[in-house]
Amino acid sequence: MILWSILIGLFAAIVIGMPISFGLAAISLFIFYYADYSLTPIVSEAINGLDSFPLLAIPLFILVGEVMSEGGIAKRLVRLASAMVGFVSGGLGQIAVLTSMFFGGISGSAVADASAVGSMMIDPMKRHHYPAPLATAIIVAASVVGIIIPPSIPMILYGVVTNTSISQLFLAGIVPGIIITLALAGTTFLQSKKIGKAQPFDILELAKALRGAILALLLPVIIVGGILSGVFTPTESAAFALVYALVVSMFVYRSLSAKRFFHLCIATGKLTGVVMLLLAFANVLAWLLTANMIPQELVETLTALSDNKFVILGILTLFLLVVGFFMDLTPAMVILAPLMTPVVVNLGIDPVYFGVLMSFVLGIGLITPPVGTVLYVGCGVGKVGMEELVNSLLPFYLTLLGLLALFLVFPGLVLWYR
Amino acid sequence: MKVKSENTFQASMQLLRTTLEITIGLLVLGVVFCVVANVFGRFVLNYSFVWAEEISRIMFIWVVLLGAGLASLNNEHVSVTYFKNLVSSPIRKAFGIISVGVIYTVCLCILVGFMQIVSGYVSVTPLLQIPKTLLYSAMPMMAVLTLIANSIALFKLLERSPT
Repeated sequence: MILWSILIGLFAAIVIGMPISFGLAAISLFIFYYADYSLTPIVSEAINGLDSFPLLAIPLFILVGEVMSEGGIAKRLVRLASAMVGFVSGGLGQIAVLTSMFFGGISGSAVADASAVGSMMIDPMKRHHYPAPLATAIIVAASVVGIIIPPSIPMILYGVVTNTSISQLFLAGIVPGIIITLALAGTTFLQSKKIGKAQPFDILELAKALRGAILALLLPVIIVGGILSGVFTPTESAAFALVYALVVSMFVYRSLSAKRFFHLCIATGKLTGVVMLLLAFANVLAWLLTANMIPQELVETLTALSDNKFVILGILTLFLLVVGFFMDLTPAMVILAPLMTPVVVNLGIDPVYFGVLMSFVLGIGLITPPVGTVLYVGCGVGKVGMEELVNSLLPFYLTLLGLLALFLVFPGLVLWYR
Repeated sequence: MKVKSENTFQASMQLLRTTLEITIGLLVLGVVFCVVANVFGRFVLNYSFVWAEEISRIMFIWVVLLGAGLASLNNEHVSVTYFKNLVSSPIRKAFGIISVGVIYTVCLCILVGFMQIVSGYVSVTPLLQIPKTLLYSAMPMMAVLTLIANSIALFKLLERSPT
């Protein structure tokens, strides 16, 4: 009954267009009423879900991304990417893909990636005879890298709700992130090779661009290196990265004022509120699910279908792809990760591997219609219609699905560090 | 007279939003300060500020719930509008009214749940012994802000012609 209440309730919330977070709370309240619970867990369990130190990494990483974007970092990363790959045919497209990877190493968010890189790259691409839908499609597809390359906000959420090591999730994301970047660069090359080069190769320009961007490039190294070496926890590394980003933006690049920084703090707080309210109410639901042994029931139901872990993993992946069509990444992650992870762990599948896979599949959902946050951002930034953008995205969807199959067949690509 | 009262209402709402924004900005700065202080203490002074972690978590909870309340006032919560936009205007209005009704119920239940918690024994935080009421009170605050936003949404829905 509980599982059906959740499915029907979520479906109803999606159809009538009510905020998903309040939909989750309403489903919990319905179950409370049905099972004769008191109303206290709607407050206490929601607060318990938020009372976690690792979660503090999320606003801090959001703020690091905001500070670096505002502080002129994105401009410098574009210049470096131009010097590195601008001489390749369809060079501007390659620059956009590479910049997305660099930027993903700072922001940890596909939406931030698409809006920051898109607002800088789409107009120059249009001027270089890229059709607007193709230019936007490249930016939108490349933004998926932002949540696989560490740091990654979805991976932090997964780590918190499933009690999995965030450091290991970040480590596991490095190789798949690089593979996705290369594959998208390949697809971009095939789609835009006739458009021509952005600029000739110039070693002096490369050296200058590298010098200009070196302080920015050190940031992902600090974040990832600090976590992987065990010196920092993810939250501490986010704090350190923020101090570094502030020093660079305020005193070296001199492009961020204290007043502007305060405005960025406000923007971060608002965004954190939207994302984390989902987590708070999903935690109430997760508490209900655990109290009623629903994950165990789900394990039994799925293992009754098949005891082959690849079949189950395939079913779950397919389910997540379908969910991605209709639901944003954050609610899908916080609702489904606590339900699915016990199933895969029971089958002997590594939770770190599943976390990266889940982030990737739901990341694809961000760029697929009818509900895709990054798709909407792309339409806005690129000033293109949804239909033409989706048409231009088709080769990129194929590439991403091919990569998904690759990661399913070769889990070692994700668990490369073991 | 109507215009004057509308202007007063708009000005009060703007004042509420600005106050919330400044509070949220200060709380985010507080979280940053506490976490950075802890990192500094651990790596430079070789000393862990135990208070910093607990205070930062409390401030984070308030950031989230005041941020969520502000998001309610600004209508910025994550929702799927695709299906709602496919249907005719009267059905969309009906969806809007159902949504408002559900959110009213959720917020009122939160207020009742909070009252039930504080009427019983409330534990304290492990290190600083701060009563957890301070943490839980962020939730009714969010609920009240959402109730205000919801009432405005309901007013707009009923005011708008269905055609």
